[in-house]
Amino acid sequence: MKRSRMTAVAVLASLLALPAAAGDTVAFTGATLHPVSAPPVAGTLLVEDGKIVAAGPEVAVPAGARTVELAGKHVYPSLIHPYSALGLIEISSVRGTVDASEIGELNANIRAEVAFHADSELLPVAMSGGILVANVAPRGGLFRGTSALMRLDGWNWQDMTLAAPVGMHLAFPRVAGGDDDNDDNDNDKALELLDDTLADARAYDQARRAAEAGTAPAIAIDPKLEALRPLLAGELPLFVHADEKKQIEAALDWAEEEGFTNLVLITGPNARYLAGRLAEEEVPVVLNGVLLRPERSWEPYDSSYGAAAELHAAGVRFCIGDGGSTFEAANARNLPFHAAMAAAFGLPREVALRSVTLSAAEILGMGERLGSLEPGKDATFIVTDGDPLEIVTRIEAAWLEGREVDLSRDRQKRLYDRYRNRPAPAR
Amino acid sequence: MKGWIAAAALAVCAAPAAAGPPQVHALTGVRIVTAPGQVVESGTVVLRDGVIEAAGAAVEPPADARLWDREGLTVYAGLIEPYSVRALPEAGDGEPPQAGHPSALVRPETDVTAWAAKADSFRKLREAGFTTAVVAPAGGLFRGRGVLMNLGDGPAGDNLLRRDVAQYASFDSAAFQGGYPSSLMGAVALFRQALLDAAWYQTAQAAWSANPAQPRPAQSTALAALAGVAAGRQPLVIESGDLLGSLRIAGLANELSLDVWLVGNGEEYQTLEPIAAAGLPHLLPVAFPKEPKAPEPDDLQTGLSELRHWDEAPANPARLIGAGVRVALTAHGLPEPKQLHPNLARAIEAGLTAEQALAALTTVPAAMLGIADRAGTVEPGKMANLVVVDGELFTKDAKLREVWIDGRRFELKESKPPEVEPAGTWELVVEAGEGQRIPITLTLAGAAPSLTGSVSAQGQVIELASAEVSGAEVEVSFDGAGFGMPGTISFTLEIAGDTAEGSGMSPSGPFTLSGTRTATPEDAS
Amino acid sequence: MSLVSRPLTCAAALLAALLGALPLAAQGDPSFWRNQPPEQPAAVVVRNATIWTSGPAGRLEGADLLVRSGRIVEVGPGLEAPTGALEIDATGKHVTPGLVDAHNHSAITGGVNEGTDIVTAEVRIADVIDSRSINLYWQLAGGLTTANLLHGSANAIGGQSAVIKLRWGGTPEELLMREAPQAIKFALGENPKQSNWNVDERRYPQTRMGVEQVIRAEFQAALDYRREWQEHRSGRSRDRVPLRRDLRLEAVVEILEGKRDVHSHSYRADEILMLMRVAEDHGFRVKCFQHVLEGYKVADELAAHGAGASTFSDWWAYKYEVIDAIPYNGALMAERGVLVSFNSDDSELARRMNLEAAKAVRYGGLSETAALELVTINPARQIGAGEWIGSLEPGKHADFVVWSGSPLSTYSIVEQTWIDGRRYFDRAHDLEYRQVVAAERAALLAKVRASKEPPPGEEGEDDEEAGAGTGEQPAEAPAEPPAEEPEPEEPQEPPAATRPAARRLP
Repeated sequence: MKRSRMTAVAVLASLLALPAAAGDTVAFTGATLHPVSAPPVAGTLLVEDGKIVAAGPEVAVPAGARTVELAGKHVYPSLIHPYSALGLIEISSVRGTVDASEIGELNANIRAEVAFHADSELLPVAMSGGILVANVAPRGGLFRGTSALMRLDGWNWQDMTLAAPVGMHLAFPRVAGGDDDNDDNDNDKALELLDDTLADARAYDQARRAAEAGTAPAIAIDPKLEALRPLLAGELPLFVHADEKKQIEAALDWAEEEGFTNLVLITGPNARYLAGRLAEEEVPVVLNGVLLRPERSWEPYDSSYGAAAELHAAGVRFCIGDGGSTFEAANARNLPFHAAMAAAFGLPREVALRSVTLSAAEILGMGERLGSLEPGKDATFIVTDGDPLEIVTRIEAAWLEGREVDLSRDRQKRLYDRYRNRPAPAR
Repeated sequence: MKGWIAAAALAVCAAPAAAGPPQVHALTGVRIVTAPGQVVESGTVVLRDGVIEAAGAAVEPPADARLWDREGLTVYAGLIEPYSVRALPEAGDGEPPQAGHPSALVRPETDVTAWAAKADSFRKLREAGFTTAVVAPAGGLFRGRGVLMNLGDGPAGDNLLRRDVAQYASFDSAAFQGGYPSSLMGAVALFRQALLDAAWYQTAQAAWSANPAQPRPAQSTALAALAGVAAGRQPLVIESGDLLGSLRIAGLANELSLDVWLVGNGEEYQTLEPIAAAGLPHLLPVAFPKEPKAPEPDDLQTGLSELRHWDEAPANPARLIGAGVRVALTAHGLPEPKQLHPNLARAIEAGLTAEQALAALTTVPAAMLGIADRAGTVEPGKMANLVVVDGELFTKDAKLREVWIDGRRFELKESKPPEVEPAGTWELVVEAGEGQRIPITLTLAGAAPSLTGSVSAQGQVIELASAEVSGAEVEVSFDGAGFGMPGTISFTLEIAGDTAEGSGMSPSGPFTLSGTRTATPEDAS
Repeated sequence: MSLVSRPLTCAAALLAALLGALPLAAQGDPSFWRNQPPEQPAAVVVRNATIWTSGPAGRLEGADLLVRSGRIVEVGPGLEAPTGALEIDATGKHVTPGLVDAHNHSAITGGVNEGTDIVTAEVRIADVIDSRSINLYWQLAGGLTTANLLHGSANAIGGQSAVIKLRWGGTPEELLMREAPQAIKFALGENPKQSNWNVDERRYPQTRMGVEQVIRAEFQAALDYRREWQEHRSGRSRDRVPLRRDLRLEAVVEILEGKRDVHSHSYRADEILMLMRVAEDHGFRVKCFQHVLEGYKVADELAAHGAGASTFSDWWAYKYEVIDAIPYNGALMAERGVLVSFNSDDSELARRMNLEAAKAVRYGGLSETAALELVTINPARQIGAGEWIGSLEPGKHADFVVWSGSPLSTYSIVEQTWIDGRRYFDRAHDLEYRQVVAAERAALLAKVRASKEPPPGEEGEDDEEAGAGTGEQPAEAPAEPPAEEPEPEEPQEPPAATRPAARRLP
């Protein structure tokens, strides 16, 4: 009597879920490949040792290679979340499950990866939505610490860390008399603190270098200032958070003055007011808040929807995030729909797709490994029945560095299966 | 009681009114605006014992009149302020409401009369040309009853025209006190229930009086005070807050058959039709939106609706009156009542006629308040309430010279740049009629033009309501209640170095005073 | 000084001339609230569209929609239109019913919650509709035409709700959808028991057990009240002290008499079952459970009771009681025969309910037409308005949306939104007026700047300042009690990146 509930996904998974072993070569055939870096093409994706070795119509399947037949399916690179609290938060109203935000202003030494909860129920749900990799960032304070690019599948944070540190996060102080008229002098204090901290860090760095060179005595290690040294050395990108127009302008001016050139701006739809400058100064942007309502009642109703198109038209390099709040970690899976809304309001579709794949990888400094289906890149991709920017599309399988992800670990799917089979109650 | 001693001491200056100078005056050669739109280019106004005896071109001053040459000036009927809100002292902690409503927001039984003349509010209203005002209580949902008064000095009884003019209400959330209600919809629900209860209370009390052999309904001063409002007999004046408030209140007035007067909000022009259709009279503030902060060309923070409102709001009085709404204007909401005139000048630029403005400040409120037979125009038989102006009312540079209230003259001095710093301690002697001499001590602190301080006599110390320096003079006013004379006591001192002399007015009559400065703030430090 | 002020004065004069023309611009500005509805053409025909009727006719290709005097006359291919009918060529486009949101708090002023007493059945959302909220226009631009404005979830028995049509520009009165039945909001679980905020003084109840008892006690009080009134009316002795009317209890009596529908905020299966049993004990049925995120666990029971279920598409994990929320909830309940809708509970989300509907295709595999019904006819029926709105059928209100493509596609946008046969939103018109509005704003800003310059001949005097008065905008509503609803009144979103989540728990 029991109706078979196996979906296409489950069939596929049961047939093909073999562990990727070293030296293993797998050919994914029959699908339409969406390399992102190039137009879609029907062809074969060849994966060896977790890396893509070939992708295209002319790819020959080597002898001994396993073949995964994907007729009628589509293969896309994994979606990449550029700014998330995944793994740091479980249930926002239950304090014990929240590790997203540290107190204090100077948290440069905070590292996101060490609190990344490998068994968070949120992670498989995000992967079911096609997101296998996320830049997980700490919050709280002026210098918030460093983010880490995390695989969402694995056994513990160490083996899930794809790259760390990705960048130092700085919440740029809001500007007095800014867009929303906060003339609170806390802002000035925050700016002062920022300048003082930087001056301290430079003095500290100088003393440390002198000590290392043996030209001065050793000094006591200050973990917070120590953590700023790679930033001063230009070895670590600075991720500056600024949302208001004046705040963004002030942040850009400040970064220029201080000589921070390895800069990423994490921002919202107000960035459209500065599209020209951002393009000219070649500042890469993580655009959050595509789905926000206009911040001001006089703005066009679609001003946030259309912000990405404006950035694109001006020539800004950007990727798209979600709303940016920790609240949204549970629905990180909706990331592609933010990009889709930008496409509905003027962003070319291929740019929208790129904004949650290759552009994100590039801006996070992982353009060599992620974001497209190109030889040499990680075999981190998803199999779908259509355009992943369409909500009605289903993500059917996912491969992380050549290893298939078990999407049935998703708690929501398990509850679905359990209750879908609940017998009708006796009445 | 010390108050009693002080009162006894000062009361001797209370010579009977009849003993004062004759109260017959004639303003001659004056341009008379007898009523909105009716002008006598040059004529005489005769006042006798607080009443206008005659006014017109052909009027001859009577033989016993004191003559006031007012050539080149214009006299209008004294303006009527329909909504002057007075904050009442907080009820003492733990003081149980006397059979009031369980919600502290429902205090309709409050009677503002005792506090009406406090502070220097009357003086400020006079400076704007008002001679009569309704004083209404502040704070709460049902705030209590208002009182109609002339704005003269002296005891409340002399100025009182009508008590219990109307009931006052507001849905302003600022009054919420932490319990129910915490929301606007909760306040509306409480409003509705309280009025239902008031209607019920009347029938319940009547039924029990007729038949006491049944459980006795509890007494409630609050519900009793709301009876007239609930029955639609007494006007209920409600602050609308904003345009939505106006529409909401119009709906409630209709639903509950109330006689509502709306305190306007300045946004009425945005949707005139339903406002006009509701037909509620308006007490309309002439307050306009603050000018937006100096914006940069690429400013983001100033909203378009804010800009439009700033641009269009001065047209609101004209549009509302033009739509057929009965409008009495009020200085409520202005930082100073005097601001009325420049603001009205803007409203007139934006389409209001001077005639409409005058009517909305004289004849319309007089009719609404039921005193059209004795106020609002310069006609024989009306109260001798006038305002005399150099120029035209409602212009930016109108110079208000004097008001007359019940036939008594109040000079309106323009404040001049301060020439003296009167801070310090002054030992003064008050001389009233019949050789009475009362020593008082005046202590002033701060710097010109506005100081603070106190006055003490017979061991009784009273804080000053105001002490304003103009030129070499300081004008002081305070509440006379502490000296057993409810009403305002005020005097003006001319300062020359450390000596001062001047004259003043108390509820008991005029007096003179003089004395010297015995200490300066430097001495104290 | 005069060197500077003279050119500026000239500029001011030019601007004044320009501003003279502006009231007209404001009249045409579609996003500007004004008390003037768009005109209602005698007849409108939409030609050659893919029409999703959300009715028995299903989805029709190449079909026409004929509207007369604000009502739908006919839907089908090749309709004959009366002469003079407004023709809209919708070739390649899609047409759907106006979207309906069964749970919305957008256009409410002065607080969404009367969160003080555990029962506040007397308060009425209809008293506090904010018809000027720009959210209404933004939601129209997303195809929404009807919203069920609900009281918050801070108390077990909250306030009376109001169904509005998004007749942008109307007064609160004009927004009300008179045909919709009276209803009231209940709330169960963490919010009424004050789990997620700090309170000075704890209020009874603090458990789900207590919530049940509060509701039962209130029903009992209402029954007693009704009995007293019945006795009072039947006994006619002279001079008897009359009974006092109690508006709170009267609203509860209406529930028990079936005159007021209950919409109950709920999450967990236990509390959903509880309220159904309490309702059955009192002889009525819960009209609709709101959120009902564990509804899939008791879908058969919901169907048997006859309650509707208005849920979120995919929100979960923001509080403990929603840990088991799944995006398959809607599809699962629908499969078991429950009348299901997706709601917004959020002024942002209410701008794109069509995309929420699409999630029922992704999760649980509802058909595309069934998915769209989650935001059209189903919520219309849940709010008791299915007779008039929610589908494109003859006789119904002409509330419809013209889309650039499939309403379930993320790439589609709303081109026009009609209510009562009036075009309340037109993207082409909106785009056209942006230039005008931008020019008007720039001119007004310039006028402000010019007015801050001293007038010619005066040095440094700022007499505008003196003329300014106070006229502060009326104070906004007091701070919300820390109850559920997810956002502040005004469109001040928590900025995207730097600030921590400011969102309230639904």
